[in-house]
Amino acid sequence: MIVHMRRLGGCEVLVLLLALPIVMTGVGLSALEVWRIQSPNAPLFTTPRSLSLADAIQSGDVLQTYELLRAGHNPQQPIAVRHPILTGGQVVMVQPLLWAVALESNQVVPLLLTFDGPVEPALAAQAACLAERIGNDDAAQLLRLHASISTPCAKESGVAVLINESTRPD
Amino acid sequence: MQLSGWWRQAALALAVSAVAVAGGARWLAGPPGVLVHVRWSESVATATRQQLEARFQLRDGEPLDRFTWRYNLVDPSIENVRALIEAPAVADTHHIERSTAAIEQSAIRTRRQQRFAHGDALILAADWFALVAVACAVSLLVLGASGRASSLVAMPRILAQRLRAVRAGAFMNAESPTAAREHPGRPGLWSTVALVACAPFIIILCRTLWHTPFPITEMVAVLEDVAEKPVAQFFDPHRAYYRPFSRVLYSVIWNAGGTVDSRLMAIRLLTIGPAVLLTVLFVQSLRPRTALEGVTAAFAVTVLTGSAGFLENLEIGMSDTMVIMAITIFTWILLNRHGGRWQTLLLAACVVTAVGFKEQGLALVPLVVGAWWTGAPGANRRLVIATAAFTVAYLTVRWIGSGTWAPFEQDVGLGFTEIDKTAAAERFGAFPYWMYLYSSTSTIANVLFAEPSRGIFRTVQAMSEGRIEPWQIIQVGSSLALTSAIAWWGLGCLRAAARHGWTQESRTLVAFVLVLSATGALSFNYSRERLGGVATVFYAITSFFAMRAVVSSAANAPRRRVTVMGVGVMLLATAWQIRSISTLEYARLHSWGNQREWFVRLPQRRLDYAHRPVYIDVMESMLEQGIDPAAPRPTRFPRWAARVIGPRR
Repeated sequence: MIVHMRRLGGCEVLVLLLALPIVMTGVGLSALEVWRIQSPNAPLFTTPRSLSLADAIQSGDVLQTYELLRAGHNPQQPIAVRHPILTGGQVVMVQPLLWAVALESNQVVPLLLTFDGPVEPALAAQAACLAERIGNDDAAQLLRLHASISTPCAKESGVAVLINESTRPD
Repeated sequence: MQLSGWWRQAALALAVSAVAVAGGARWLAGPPGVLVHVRWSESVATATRQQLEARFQLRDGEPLDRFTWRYNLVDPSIENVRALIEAPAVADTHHIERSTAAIEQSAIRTRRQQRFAHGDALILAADWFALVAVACAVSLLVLGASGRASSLVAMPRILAQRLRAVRAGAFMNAESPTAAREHPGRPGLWSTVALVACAPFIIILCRTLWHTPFPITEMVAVLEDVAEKPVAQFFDPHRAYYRPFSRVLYSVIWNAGGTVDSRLMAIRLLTIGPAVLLTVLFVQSLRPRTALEGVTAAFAVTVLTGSAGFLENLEIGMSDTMVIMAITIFTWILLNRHGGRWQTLLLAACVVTAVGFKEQGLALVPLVVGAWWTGAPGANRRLVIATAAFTVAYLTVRWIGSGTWAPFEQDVGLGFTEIDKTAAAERFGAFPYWMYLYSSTSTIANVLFAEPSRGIFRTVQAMSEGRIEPWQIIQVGSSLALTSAIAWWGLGCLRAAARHGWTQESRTLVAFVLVLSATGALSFNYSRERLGGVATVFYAITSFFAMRAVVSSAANAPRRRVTVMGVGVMLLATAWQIRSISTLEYARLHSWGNQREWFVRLPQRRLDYAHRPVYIDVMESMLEQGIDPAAPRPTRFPRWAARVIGPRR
């Protein structure tokens, strides 16, 4: 390098040093983009795939939930979930919408409400009551509007009970 | 027109084939579909309704109430529409002129599916072919008119000659920038080199923006506005946000017919086009003539694209400031070249157009005045008088309409916190001018030092709390270093101007100071990075001159000093490259955020805006692009790299 500096002169050396990051960035960005186009599902370009809809809902990942639903998961079909507090460590079958409300995954709730057509009003009402019970007012309001219900919910105690048992409006 | 010379015949053939292919594709694909509402008679059973839907080519039915459905009417021919409205089973329709059986102008167009499923793809391919054919035809005409058509045949030989010449003179004048300015050099070649160096960034940015979903939060409301309101309403000066030209342009696109996809594509191009144009014109304005200037120009492009004033204006569909930035650089090019009356008229039109797009365009007024004051060849007294008269008239009209404006239109940052606009009005409403001064200064400081952002000293706060991230150090550090270099060069420039009069360099410095001050003043109400966009263009231009001066100063320096300067220059260039990568990641993050909003906000919006049918129609028509799984997402860099590139928020 020193030999080059003597031969090139200060100005040329500085030009080359200024050009180096520009060229490297150009080459690096191009290589990365070609890789992205060729392997869009490489770990660098996609979030790690959740194994189940329950996991995706639990992580609050809207796009992942959407992709699982697109892949064929039925948003109305109960899923197996387990949580140390909400289900007392037991495996429980629960509707995805109720699970999202229980976990306060408020960004997933709207997706589950509308994917592949509107959700059944009865389920929305049940979810609205659950949201109200755990103090998730935003979700409760959205679900109540969606289900067009104005009646109060039945009194229950304990979040685990809310998931396991029906919480239909009075 | 008499045809002589092969290039004329070839150009004509290309033009004819462009028209024929574009027209033929449309004929082949059939007309676009249209969204209509149909209310069925109460007596119509489900099976009957389904039969009628198939007969009238009503697809993708969506119930709006018990009897009313929204459909994609795939065949909007008068015969089919007349048969539909005359059917006894149809009680009523919406978006159809029942007297003439014609589709209303305001109805939303859908894809062309009448003859086959991918009619739009055929038209897109045909349009691209036509575009390329027209471009080739124009190039042939230009080359032919200038007597260079035959040079196409000799192109390989000319290229080889050029390359030999480049090798001989790459560093010509590198050690004397003043001499370089005076020597004709090779502006075309080194401009091309600078653009090629930036091409990967620009291409990736365009690709990202092309697939980015429009935001549901603002874009739907804007399109509802242009779908419903007459054009004259956009010129009402009582609006706090005054962007008549932008809205008229959207209105023309949205109401011109065509499918939703084609209209959204046109609006998308309004963001991508100005960003590309800005970059090309930016390099054109620098006219690099040597290797030193070519590399410095590429560096200056990185400064432009790595600045918050650039990236914050990349929001798809909301690119008014990006348009103004492109107009600004075009204006600057015109101001620095000799021209006649037409050029003066063009410059005046640039000012009016920029202001009509967004009020930040007013920054062009001091630019014109400053250029005239410093003896720019393209600025003359008539232009200054016309610009001043327009500005006075514009401000008078806006002042008259300002009676109902709130003291703060958006939340404002102060110190380490953001204050809600209502709270700010209560706190500072009686005398808001200190707050206005703070916001203006914040915007200026953000252009120069990348801090504060939105009026909040986030980096200082992070440092005081011991949670500063590498990307924050890179952003503030690179801005500090470059601004110092610009200040050093600027002082030298002013000294030279005092001795020898105005030069292009000193004129650029004056323009930067004036535009920066104007940009700050125009953001008095609230400070945002995007409001510094116009000043960012001149910050990048001055960075070109400053870096050229820094590198040139090493011409006869001792080796040790060159080594230190070399390390400094490389670090600075690397930091700005990282910032440009950060811009790309920001664009991807934005795309991901927009898509998320479609999932999260859609149900609530359907409920909240149910009483606004146009809003709902526009939103539903945009749903497909909003949830398209191909939308760009942020790269999942390793943690160390993510901390260096950094999230913006």
